[in-house]
Amino acid sequence: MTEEEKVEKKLGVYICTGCDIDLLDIERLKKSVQDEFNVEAKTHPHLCGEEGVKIIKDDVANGVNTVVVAACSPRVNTDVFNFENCIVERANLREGVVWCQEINDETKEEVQLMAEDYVKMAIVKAQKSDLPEPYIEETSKDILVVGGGITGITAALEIAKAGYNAYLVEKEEKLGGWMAKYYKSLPSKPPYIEIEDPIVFKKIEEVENNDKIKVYTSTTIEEISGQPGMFDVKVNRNGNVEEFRVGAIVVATGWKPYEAEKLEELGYGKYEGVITNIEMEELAKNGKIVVNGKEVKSVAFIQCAGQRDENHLPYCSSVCCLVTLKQAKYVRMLNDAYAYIFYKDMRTLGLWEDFYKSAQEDEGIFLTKGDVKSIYEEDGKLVVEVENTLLGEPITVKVDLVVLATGMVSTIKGLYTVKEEFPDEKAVPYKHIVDLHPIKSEEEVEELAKKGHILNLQYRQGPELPTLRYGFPDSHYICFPYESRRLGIYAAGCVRAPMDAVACMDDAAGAALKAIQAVELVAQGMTTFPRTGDIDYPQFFLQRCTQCKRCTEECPFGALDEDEKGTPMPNPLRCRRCGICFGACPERIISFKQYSIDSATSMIKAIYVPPEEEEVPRIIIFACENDAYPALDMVAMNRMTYSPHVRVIPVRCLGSVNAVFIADAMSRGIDGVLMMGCKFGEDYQCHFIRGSELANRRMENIKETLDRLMIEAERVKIIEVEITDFDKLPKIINDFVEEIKELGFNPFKGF
Amino acid sequence: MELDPNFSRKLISLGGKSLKKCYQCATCSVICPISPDDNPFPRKEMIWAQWGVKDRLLKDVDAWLCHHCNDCSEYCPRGAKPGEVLAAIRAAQVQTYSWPSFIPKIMAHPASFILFLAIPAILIYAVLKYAQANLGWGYIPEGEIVMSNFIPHIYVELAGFVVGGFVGLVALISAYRFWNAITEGGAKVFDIEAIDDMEMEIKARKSFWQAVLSALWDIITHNRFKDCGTSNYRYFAHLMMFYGFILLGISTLGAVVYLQMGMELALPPTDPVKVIGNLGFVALFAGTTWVIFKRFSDPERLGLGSYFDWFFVILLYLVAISGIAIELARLAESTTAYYIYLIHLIFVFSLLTYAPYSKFAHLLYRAIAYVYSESTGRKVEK
Repeated sequence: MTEEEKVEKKLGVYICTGCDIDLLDIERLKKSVQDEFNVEAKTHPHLCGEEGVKIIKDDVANGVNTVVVAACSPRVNTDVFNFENCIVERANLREGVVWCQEINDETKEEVQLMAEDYVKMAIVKAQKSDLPEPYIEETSKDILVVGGGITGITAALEIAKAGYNAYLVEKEEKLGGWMAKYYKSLPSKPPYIEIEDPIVFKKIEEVENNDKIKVYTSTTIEEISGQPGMFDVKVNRNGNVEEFRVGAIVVATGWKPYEAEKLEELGYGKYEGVITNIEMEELAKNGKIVVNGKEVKSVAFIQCAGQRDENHLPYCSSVCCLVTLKQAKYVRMLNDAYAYIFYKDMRTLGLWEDFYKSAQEDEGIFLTKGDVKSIYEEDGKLVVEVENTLLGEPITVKVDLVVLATGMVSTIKGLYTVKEEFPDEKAVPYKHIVDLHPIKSEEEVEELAKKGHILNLQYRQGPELPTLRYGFPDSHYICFPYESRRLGIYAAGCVRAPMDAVACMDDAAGAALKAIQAVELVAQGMTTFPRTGDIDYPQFFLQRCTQCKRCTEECPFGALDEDEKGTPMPNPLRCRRCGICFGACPERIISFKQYSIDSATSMIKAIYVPPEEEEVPRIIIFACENDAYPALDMVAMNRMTYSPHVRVIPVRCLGSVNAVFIADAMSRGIDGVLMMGCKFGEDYQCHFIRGSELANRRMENIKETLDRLMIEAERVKIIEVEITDFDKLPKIINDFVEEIKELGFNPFKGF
Repeated sequence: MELDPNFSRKLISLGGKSLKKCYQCATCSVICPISPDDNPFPRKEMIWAQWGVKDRLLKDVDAWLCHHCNDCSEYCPRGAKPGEVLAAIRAAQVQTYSWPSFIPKIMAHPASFILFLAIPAILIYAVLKYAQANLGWGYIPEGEIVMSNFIPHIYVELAGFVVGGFVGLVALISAYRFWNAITEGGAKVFDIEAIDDMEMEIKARKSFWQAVLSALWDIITHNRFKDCGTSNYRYFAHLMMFYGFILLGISTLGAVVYLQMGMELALPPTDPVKVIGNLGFVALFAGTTWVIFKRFSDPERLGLGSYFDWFFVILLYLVAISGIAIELARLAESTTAYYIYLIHLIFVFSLLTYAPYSKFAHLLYRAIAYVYSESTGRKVEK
């Protein structure tokens, strides 16, 4: 849209006087709007009611297209104050002022100024905003499922049942994955006691009879390019390359067993009678467990073999206890033999406790906690010595067979995933990455690439899903287990966390639904979690781009590719609209229609800075909309109070705070800036993964700028806020105000 | 450490039906008011029972420190009922240490109950037939009901000495075996290495005779029993049965004294010896009735008891009932008193003769365990 085509803005300001807002001097508030913007604000004692909304609607019908509602928090009544084709801005007078301020003769003036500032800030923001238009392209609603095990099969079936087409790609000749290789599987239905024939075979049949599912066996993925809704998939089926387009992807490539060869101390590879739990399934398939031609009479199961062990897998694979209990049942059923189980902790979550109980009550199954001291052969038997048992002393059992419960490793583990996990040696690694693999040379990357790949995404940041701890592509989104850090790509089943088949099936259904949600949303140009439904997307004024690559590197979601010169090539449908790119951009060429450098700095400029002689400081709080801003609302709802000298500006993420915001604030004479963001690092809570970490990194540059301006670095501070910390916020704010008062006024005040 | 899966099965059959359910949380040991801090019971007994650690269980003196108050079973989150498992361990020990070993083996089968009653019945029948033919007594006499007219007391006393001698011998053998088993390895109760580096506290030990005195005091006062929570009724019920039995013993002794003094024994209810005996009956009968009633009223919480357990309770009850029935019949001047007397003799014979193999033996084992626990510091001091 060019400047000429822009519809002229017609502003309407509406002040609600309910919910204690009338404690303010409403007339004075109206007058300040009138004086500054030449608009007569309308008031109503119950603006969110039918009558109040009608006032606004009538005005909208008469040409008002820019609505500023000065009432409650922008987090509430969003459905009420929603007017078609209108820019709507909210000034938070309720939670932001009257509910969180002590109003008395002494503070009255400052509180009034606070309210006036918030109304002005909302008005300038509305004036600087434009109506967003969605990024609409012709998209596909088909969904690719990678991996034909129980998870992938279930996902494909769920997708088909919901009426969408699925492509199911499996690298092996047959569908079924691990489950098809088992003798029996854990119960899939209540009361979760009887082991059963693997349920996967029935599901394979269903898949084969479903014409909405296209099955590709003996097939690998060559590459995937594009963005959600428009993923172009190139597959290789027995040497023949085929291409198709999908809208979203479910990654269900599952797990691989931990290498038992590394468990020599437990006798693996040394004694024929020491096997893994996978090999036990094969033995049991014969109908009788036979080793060396002899029917097995006793079996020792060793739990956590190479697990919860810093030298091997540091984590618990969560299912091995159940697998062992299942296999102990094989031992009882097939051979009427004794099963001895040595565990670190018996972990049978949820209803699986009943399965544990059922095995425990068997007279031929013996369980104890214990550490295996040694395993050796004597008189044709395997002798297992166990220490620290619950029996109070070491015990020794002589058995025919030892089964090691080895753990699960994500199929993504070991692959070259994204650059940030394999950084250059000199690069400062992100704190949320636990498994770092510093790279010394380009050749090393090539070596890694030879290890194979799963998706081979043509993303600038790397070919696979980014992983977190232990090589699992977990999202760390507390409430959104299937999310990955690539929009439109969802991980399900053991690839993202070790789990049993029942959980895999639940996971598959969840991921399938997320994929369906994604294809539907991107078809309308909308993003997904956490700004679900947002159509506003970042626009790049590339003429001024200096190819510094900060945006392309810092985007947590790999939304930006780049050309040879390093100019960003945005993929709006991969974008989650956090604004980290515009926080990064030194040239300030990135903006959203409703969230831009211009609108933010205009808001800062709208704040009235009292001259020094009035002896009151002004402090800006940039509060993350995900945790800090709601926490501030909670402060107000609990009627806790804080200093009236602060002005809160909500930001999408602390990562979207551009250095220029702070520079502008300081040069305007603002005395201090407090940035409230989410916790970062290993256990980060940032909804955009590294926004708050980036804000901290950028502080270094900001401090340099402040130095240059001869301003104390202490005037700018970043703190981590969890939503549950709301009760601590008033003290944090007041303490900061005191700190600033001690520093004295910003030397730029009055310039 | 020897593992014997069959011993685990044996404990299950002796009443520890739920022992496999234990998952070693140790709630039982924490809740137990009389379990010591070092190596507390019954947690360790539970896993020994699960794994069939026969040698440990048979040497486990702690099983006798338990009074089956069922606090552990009440609080057990898995319904493993440790109280019943310990009772089964005690039964297994009684069966193991008594002599000759074939008797407890046969007694383990409930069907043998008839057989065990039949033995005294046949013996008494044979004696009566012999007396009728050769000694001129054993006929139902006419006139006033006087037992010695039916069977002269000297023969009953004689039988008493024979039974007493046998029971005493078996008890001695059992006690010797039990004492040897629990003291094996010297002074310590357990020759188990402490888990991790947990230190074992060494407590000052009492001398043997101090321990005996202290144990006797505990037995007389039922001091240790008193701490029971869930089945605290058992403290009172057992106290009644215990003193009822002692009063009956005193009354029997009195009768022997009367006999030595040449007195006739058809005593009136006002006679002091009879008063003591009747008081004893009331206490024993009330206590036993209370126990039986309680068990049936809340078997889930209080435990219904195993056959091993009932064998003793039933005999005790039958002895008490048949005893009072004789007295009532005698006062009613009915000759059925003589028949009841025969039946009473069968029950008394059974109660006493089988004592070393039945739960009756607990008085021996528990007393020894008390003495031992006093001398090793495994008694919980308040």
